[in-house]
Amino acid sequence: MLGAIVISEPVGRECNVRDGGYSTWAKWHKCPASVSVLGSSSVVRTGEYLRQSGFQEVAMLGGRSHCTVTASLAEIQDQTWRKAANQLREYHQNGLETLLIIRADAYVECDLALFIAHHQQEGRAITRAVDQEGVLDMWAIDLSRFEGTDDLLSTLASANEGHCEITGYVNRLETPQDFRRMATDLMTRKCKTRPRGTETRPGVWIDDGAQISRGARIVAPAYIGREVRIADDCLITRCSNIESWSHVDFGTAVEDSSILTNTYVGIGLDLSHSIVDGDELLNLHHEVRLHISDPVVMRRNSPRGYQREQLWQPEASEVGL
Amino acid sequence: MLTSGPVIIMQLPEELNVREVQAFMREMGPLLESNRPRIVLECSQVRSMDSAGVEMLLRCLEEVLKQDGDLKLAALSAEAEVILEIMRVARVFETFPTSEEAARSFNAIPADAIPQDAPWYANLFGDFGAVKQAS
Repeated sequence: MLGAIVISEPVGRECNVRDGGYSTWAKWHKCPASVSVLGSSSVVRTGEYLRQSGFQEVAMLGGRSHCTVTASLAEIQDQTWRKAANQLREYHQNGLETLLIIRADAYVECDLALFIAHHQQEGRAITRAVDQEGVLDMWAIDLSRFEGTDDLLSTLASANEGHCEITGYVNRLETPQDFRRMATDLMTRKCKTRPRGTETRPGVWIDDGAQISRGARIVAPAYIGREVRIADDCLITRCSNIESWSHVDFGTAVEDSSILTNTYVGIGLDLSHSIVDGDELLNLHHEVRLHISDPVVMRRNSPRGYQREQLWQPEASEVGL
Repeated sequence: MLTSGPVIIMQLPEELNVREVQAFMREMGPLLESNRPRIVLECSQVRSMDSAGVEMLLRCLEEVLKQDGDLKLAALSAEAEVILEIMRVARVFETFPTSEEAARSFNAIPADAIPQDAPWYANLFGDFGAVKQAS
C-alpha cells in the first residue's frame, strides 16, 4: 500500500536552497501553495494527483487550523512538521512500507510509480527527487529503515543518500511569475491538472455561479471562477484568471493577469501583467508591488466567500481527501 | 511665436493622496494661472497614488493646456507608471526618462511652427533639411 504526506506551510524556513533562498520579491505570498489557481490550490491539486496515481493514504497537513491565532510562522512550521512526524510513525505502525513526503511549495507532476520503483530498487532509506534545476522537496522513504525524529524537515533536508531525477511538469511557485506560469500552463494544457468548472467553449472555463454580463467579452484562454461577477463592457483576455467570489466592475480590461479570490476590481481600469489580491497589486512587467489604498479602485470583498474558500485547511480534511 | 519662459521642474511627493494633493495644489495654483506655463513633474519619489492623485495630474494638465502651456512627466517610478497604466491615463501624458530631457523637449520646434509650404522632409532632417531647402 502506498501512502503520502503533503505538507503545506507558510514560506520562511527553506530547505530548498537552489538560489540561496527566497528573495524579497519572491516572498510575494505567505503560502503560495494555498493560493487558488483556476479553482484549486496546488496543495489540493497535489492531493488529487496522488490519489489518481494510486496512493491510497494521503495526509494533508498545514495551515493555521491547529495553531493558536497568535502563532508565528516558525511556530506554525514547527507544529506542522511535528504533526508530519507523528503521521509518519502512525503509518509505520499501520504497516506501510514506502511513504512519499511532498512539501507542496512546488507543484510537481511526474511518474510517481517510477520514482517509488527507483527508490525501492536502490534500497535506500530516503530518496530525494531532483529535476534539471536542482533538488525538489519530495522524498520517498522506506519506513522500515528510516529513523524518524520530531525535526523531520531537518532530517530530510540533511539526508544525502540518494537522488532520483524526475521528468514531468514542475513549477516551484517561488515567484509571482511562477504563479502566473502555473495559470497559463493549466489553461494551455501543459500539465495534466485542469481548471475547475466547465469549458463552455474551447479555452474558456466558467465555474459554478459565475455571472457574466451580456456586454462583457471573454477571450480564450481564460478562467472565470465560482460566484465571480463580470460587469458589462469588461474584457478578460490572454490567459487571465478571475478566482472565486471576485468582482470585475464595468469597463475594466484584464489582460495576462490573475485576480485572486475575493477581490474587487473597480470601474474602467486597465490591468495587465499583474496579480491582484484584495488591495495588493503585483505588476510583473515592472516588478513592483503596490498597496492600493483607494477602495474604489481595488479592495478585498466581504470575507464571507473568502472563508468558504479556505475550507481545504481545517483539521477534518487533514487525513484523507 | 514660440514660448521662451522658464521650464519649471517640480518634484511630486512620495504619497499622492487627498492630503498631499491639497498641499501640492496650493504650490501649483499660481503656476497654473501663469501665461504659457511649462511644467515638468518629477515622479521618481512617488510610491503610491490614489484616484485623487491621478485626478490632480489630469486637472493640472487641463489647466496648463487652457493657458496654452504644457505639462510633462519625468523619471516615473515603477509604482507611478503602473498606477497611471491601470487608470488608463498614462497615454495622456508625455513622459521622459529624466527631468532634463523633459525640459529640453520644450525647446523642440513644434510641428505647427513649420511653414505649411515647406517640403515634407524639412521636419525630418531638422537644421540639415533647412540648409538644403535654402540652397
